[in-house]
Amino acid sequence: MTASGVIQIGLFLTAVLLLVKPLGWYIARVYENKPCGLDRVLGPFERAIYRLCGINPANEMGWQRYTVAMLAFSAAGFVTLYALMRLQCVLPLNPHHLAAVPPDLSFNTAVSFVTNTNWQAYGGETTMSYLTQMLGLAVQNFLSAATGMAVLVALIRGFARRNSQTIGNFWVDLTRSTLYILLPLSLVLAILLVSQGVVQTFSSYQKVTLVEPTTDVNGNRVNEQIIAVGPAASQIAIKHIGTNGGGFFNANSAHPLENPTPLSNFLEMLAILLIPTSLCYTFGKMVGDTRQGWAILASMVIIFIGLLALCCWSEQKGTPQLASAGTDLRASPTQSGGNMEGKEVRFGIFNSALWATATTGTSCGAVNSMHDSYTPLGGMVPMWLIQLGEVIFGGVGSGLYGMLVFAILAVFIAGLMVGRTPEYLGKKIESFEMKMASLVVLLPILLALVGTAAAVVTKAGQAGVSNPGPHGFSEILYGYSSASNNNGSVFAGLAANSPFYNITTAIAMLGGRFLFKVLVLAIAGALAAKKYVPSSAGTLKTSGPMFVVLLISVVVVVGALSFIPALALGPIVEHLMMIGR
Amino acid sequence: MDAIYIGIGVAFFVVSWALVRFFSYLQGGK
Repeated sequence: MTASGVIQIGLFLTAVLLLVKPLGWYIARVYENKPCGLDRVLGPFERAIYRLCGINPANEMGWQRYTVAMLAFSAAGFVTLYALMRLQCVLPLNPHHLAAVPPDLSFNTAVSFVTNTNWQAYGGETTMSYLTQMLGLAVQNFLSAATGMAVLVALIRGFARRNSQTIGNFWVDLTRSTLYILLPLSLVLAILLVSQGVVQTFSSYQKVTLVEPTTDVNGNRVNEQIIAVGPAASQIAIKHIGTNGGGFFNANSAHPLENPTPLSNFLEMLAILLIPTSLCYTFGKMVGDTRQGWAILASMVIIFIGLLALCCWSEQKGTPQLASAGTDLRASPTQSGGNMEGKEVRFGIFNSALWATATTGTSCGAVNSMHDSYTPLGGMVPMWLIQLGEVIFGGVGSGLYGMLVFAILAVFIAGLMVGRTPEYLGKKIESFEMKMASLVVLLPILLALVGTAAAVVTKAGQAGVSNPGPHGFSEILYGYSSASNNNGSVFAGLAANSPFYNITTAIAMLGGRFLFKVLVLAIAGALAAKKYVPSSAGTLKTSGPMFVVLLISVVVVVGALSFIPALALGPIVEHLMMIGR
Repeated sequence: MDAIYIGIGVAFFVVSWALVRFFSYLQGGK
């Protein structure tokens, strides 16, 4: 661990935590329909959208109507995006005459972006036209993120309301999330990214003469290079703000035109954690006790720092194989040391490990280094963070509602210990909520492990593995964990652009997103209808250190029991083989 | 092929809708 690395991480986390309260307060004002500062500018647009779409914003919905509206909206987005990719060859803004995207890849990508996963089995600059990138992928970046936020706010209302049959209006929550939160933040970030050198242009790809000519694999001299450009900054901004993660370019945020400088790297990392952390404060504000939100955030921060430390330590230490090859693994003023394979020199060990931890604790999935090239333990950290359900800090909305389900599980376990009906935020947790919460926890685990098993035992699944042995197994396990938890990052040695992977990962993404949401909204509806139970001497205090410890224990134990057997076959055995050689 | 892939996707949303009805029934038939 180097001092400069620790200082950089400390500064980053300080910046994130300083923004939690102001942004969380603002988001709460947006969802409570109170003046938030942007009403005068954006209010007319909001009202115009309602008039145009025939929405009565005062019309509240029960959880069933809310859920059906969410499903119908997402289904329409899926069909539209699929059609756009299949027809891009005859549509405008395709200066490089890219062909229609193949059917299985279109299916996978449409599902991927509608589910906020942004799993990319394609290279953006060689597959997608500018129109598809802007009208299809970037639009879904906004809408899928807003859908996640809408589901979260519905769950929060479930806790906050008493004897209510309604949990809000989906169309209003969707519109306000997009208009008041995602669009303004993305606009500011896009401008900042352009200032750092991220491209934003409709120009066609640039052909340039190489300063240092080279030769290709056949020995032919190469004097020219084509540099892909495009309207990237606007998409990259929402890619991070909305924890989507789908890069404009194939190399994602490792690409110098997608993430050129240490400052752009800092801003993009900050954008990944900005809304997920702030939503904890929003939650506390909306349920009338901000200490509840801080307790949840404290649990997240503690797990995050522990796993970040493991990742940084493992990557800085390097491997015995690198050492025996004569690589200098010591950090110095002129080089990062450690395991720099798959990492960008301009980011080094710590900013790569910090990014990897942040992007997998959330549902972002954008990368600035190649996770497949991490040391076994360093790579296990992002994989396990995904497998924990991305509740550390989670996606925009999706992480916090996952963490609130874990909170329900925690108070249930505490209730079992003392023989008392569990309560959370003044609501009794009963049979129906526990059934739903259990399914929420089990669903992504089931999808990840069944998907992995199916890939391991079939020839079509094995065909995608380029690193046989434990590492190949890790690639498959990471892939299905990522898909079912809607992360989107990958151990990129897995050749995932085949009909088998395109279809099976799409099914995992759909299940992990929408079945999960149905269950969460069912909990929201059940909680909203309950009466408020005042706390008594026997009520578990859910805003203190004891609850923080309990919540962390539940998240870690569930994650460990579910995945350690599988991890033992992948990164753990790979680590033992590495140090045993 | 397009109809098959769109059909798979839409079928999934229909199944999700059916689950909404089922959970609603479990909750008390509302």
